[in-house]
Amino acid sequence: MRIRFTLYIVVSLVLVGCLPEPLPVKNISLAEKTVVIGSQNVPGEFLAVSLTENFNAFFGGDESEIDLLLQELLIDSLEVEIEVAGDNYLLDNAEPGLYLGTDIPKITGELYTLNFVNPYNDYPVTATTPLLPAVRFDSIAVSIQETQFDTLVNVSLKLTDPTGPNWYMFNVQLFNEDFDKQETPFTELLDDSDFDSSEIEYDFVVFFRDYVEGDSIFVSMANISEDYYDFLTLRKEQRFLLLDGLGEPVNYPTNVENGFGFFHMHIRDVRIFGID
Amino acid sequence: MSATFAQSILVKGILVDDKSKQPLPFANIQILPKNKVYSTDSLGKYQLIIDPSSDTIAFSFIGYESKRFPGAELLEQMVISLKSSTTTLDAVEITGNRTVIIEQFENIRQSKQTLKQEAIMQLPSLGGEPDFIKVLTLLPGVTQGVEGSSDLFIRGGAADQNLVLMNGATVYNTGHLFGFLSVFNPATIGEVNLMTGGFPAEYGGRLSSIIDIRSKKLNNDQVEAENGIGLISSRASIQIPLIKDKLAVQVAVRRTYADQVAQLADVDLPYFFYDLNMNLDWQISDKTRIQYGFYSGEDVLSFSSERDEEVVGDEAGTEFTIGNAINTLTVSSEIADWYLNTDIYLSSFDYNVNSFFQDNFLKVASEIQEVGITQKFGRSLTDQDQLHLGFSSVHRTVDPNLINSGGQVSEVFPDSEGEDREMLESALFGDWEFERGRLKGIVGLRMSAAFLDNANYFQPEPRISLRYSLKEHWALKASYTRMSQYIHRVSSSSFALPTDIWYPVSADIKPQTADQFTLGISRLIEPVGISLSSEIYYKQMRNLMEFKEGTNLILNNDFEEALLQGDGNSYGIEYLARRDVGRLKGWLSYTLSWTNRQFAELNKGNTFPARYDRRHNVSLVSNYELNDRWSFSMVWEFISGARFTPIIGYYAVPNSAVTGVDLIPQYPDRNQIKLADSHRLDFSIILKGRKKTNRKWQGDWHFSIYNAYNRATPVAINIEYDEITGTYSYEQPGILGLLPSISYNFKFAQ
Repeated sequence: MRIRFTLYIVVSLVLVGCLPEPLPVKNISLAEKTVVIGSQNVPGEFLAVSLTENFNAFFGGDESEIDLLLQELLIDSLEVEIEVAGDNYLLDNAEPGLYLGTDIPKITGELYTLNFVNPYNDYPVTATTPLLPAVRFDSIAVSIQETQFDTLVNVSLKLTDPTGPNWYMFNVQLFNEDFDKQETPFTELLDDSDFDSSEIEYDFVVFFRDYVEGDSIFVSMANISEDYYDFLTLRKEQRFLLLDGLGEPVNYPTNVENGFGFFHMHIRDVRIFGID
Repeated sequence: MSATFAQSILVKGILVDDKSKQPLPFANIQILPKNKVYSTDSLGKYQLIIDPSSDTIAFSFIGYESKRFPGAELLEQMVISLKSSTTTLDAVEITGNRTVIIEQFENIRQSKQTLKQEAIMQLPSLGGEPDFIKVLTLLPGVTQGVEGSSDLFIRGGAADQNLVLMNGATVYNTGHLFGFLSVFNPATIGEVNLMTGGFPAEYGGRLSSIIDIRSKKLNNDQVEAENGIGLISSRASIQIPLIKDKLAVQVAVRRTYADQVAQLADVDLPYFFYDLNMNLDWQISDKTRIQYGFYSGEDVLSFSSERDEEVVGDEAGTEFTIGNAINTLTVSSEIADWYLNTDIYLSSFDYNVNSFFQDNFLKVASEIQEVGITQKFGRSLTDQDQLHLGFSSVHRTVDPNLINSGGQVSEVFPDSEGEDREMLESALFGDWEFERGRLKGIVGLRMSAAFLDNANYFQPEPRISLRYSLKEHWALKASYTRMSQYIHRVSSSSFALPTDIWYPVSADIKPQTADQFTLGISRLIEPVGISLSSEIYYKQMRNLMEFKEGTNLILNNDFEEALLQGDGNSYGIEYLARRDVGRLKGWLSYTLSWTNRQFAELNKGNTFPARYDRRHNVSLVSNYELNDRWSFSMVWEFISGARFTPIIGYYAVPNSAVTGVDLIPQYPDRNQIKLADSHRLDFSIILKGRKKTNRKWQGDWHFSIYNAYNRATPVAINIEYDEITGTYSYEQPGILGLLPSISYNFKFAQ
């Protein structure tokens, strides 16, 4: 026993006691400030965008501090216009950082262009996206499968694919009985390269989540633009990275010129399921 | 054996130990009145042009009594033997160090360095385990990756651009212990030749370097045992003459035993490695020799744990094995005026990962197999011209990730059989070596080709090396070489893993090529046994490999979709001062270098520094022999930091369900930041056992300190949170700090 203990101490001292101090990485310059466009989903409103600024990579803190930080990032009092079908519409800065278009016509297939001046460099910011035809669930069924260790959600759906190339996004978001959002949404992506202009059935499984009685599952779908599809695909590829900062750099695509983020307009079909 | 040329005679012969009849490689030969210096080759053979009427030829070798012959007398002798000047045990301590620098000075090719077993055994080493690969990183132009990695980055090349050969066979995995130790048992290795430029036409298949490792010549006269007990592993080797003076066999084994020791303290250390070497050396006649070599080695990591004792089957675990197996057969012979050398080999590398987590399992297997032959032959055309010709052919089967999964994890990693890829890589090559007055040169051509199911490639690879003697003991050297590479390692450029996969060219993936130019000057200061050299190089590389941003390479079989090809260049200057004679031996090297990459799809198409673009690299290696028993060694190295692309900002966008925000990282130009410089001092003290006449064994104690001033040698990059300032920062931890070790090596000869 004494030998084992002594051996354990010696090995521990050798291996742990002499661990060198890590070396600092210096001279990292921080990102220049610029604007970020976020496409929002406000009930009853056709078009809503948020304008924020990017922030220092070395900001730290818990979730409440990040929420506070996000409040500080909101950008107000900009003249933001939408150009569609040859007409310009001024957006209303209805709430901090949120700009709404109240009288903008909904023209499927038309291009919508967002214009304003970047307050950080005084150059114009533009972003253009099409309004794609709405595609809704023909049917959807959600079932819970309990395994020995956790629960899975099986989603089976049907939809009718319009003519031409289309890209679909499905989101599954869990809410508990207090309607608090649980975890990040599970995103499934699908393109119609194998089934153009036909009725299709599609199944997928949401795994590694735990569901309990009283939870609600929101399942949404939308026909999205190709560039937003590519952005989400890239984002999904990185989902297993524990920390973004340790992998190779990924410069995520954006459709914003002189800024970041995504301006997209798609119409969602949302279904809610309760777990009994 | 002679050929007449004016008043001079060409004489050939072999220099051997008078007792064991072992050849004495790189021994010193002087033609005294002319004060010309030559050396025997790696097989102890020599060719000299002498004037038998006036020349006197002196043969000398460290540890042996010198001999002199009048020229006329030398004509009568083909075999010259030297008598050992020390005790019995010294017979196995063949060194020949002094001639390494002379051989290098005389060599037409400057970008070649030779390391011998005896020199390696004297240097400080991690855990007392001598390591050829680690010592290579101390030579000019060679940069290591992260601490512990066996990856080498040579003259701006990538880690997969180095061809490691063991008796002519390709070695795909060079590291045990995840790279901390090389797979080469020092007891079996005779010498390692590193070539970083001016490549002979017989070598090809990689852009940046050739690391040619040869087993040592076995003693077919007496039984020899060579063993070592270290902190990390222990090794045992025995050589036995099966037919005296003809046939000898060596068996050598190594294994870590930390797992067994840890069990004594009730600590479960789930890792070990082992390797086994067997070499046969058959000197059939003076002109024919056959060598057979076998290597098998494996690293095994296996662990499992219960997550929740109350839930039946709530367990997780992994078993990981990785290993090489190599068989080589070398036949060397002479027929009339021709020499012939045949290397035949079979080399395989595989890894298997079996993981489970609750009711999920994931099994991954990958394998690469090669069977190859290289045939070389040549002869002297005149006393100033030699011809070396040959061909090589390698059949390679690459079986990338075979994935078998079950449970929920199969949604992420579905079953995949991978796709076997077969290729035949062949080459015809020839070198013409000439001497015209002060000018010596080698003009060569290698015609390489790769044959695949869906593509064939042919590449002419011209090679030229020139050496011009400015005056006595000064020489100018220059070279131009083109190299082609038909197989690449698919690896995340952040971290090289043992599970990285080798992937051949295809219809869409073109061979990598490189043109390299070098110009150097060498000086030999013979009275003090020091060679000085300086060399500048420029290398232009095409069709280099990178991956599209955001590519997930883990268990990915669809590499071709993600591959990008682009260009790169590297240039720099290297200095080396080396001394291999006297009590103080060692070298000082310094490399100043730049290496860049350009890919249309990366960094907005702009040029960016390569990840291992390390500006300065200094190595000081020394060994001081105080007396017959005590010697001291030290190694100090300094390497500028590698390059890194940090996150410099974030922005928030609504997530895809618009139920929250997704933080997106923002990066600067690729590899814009230089990481911290690293430097490390290691030293060792060796106490040799007393030498006694007729004593058959001798033991040496090695006391080593690794990382004497406990500075981190970066192995990774971490993001750390500072609670006081409430901010994050990047920092680079090292794994090994100050690490003392003791090892005992002992030899036995009968």
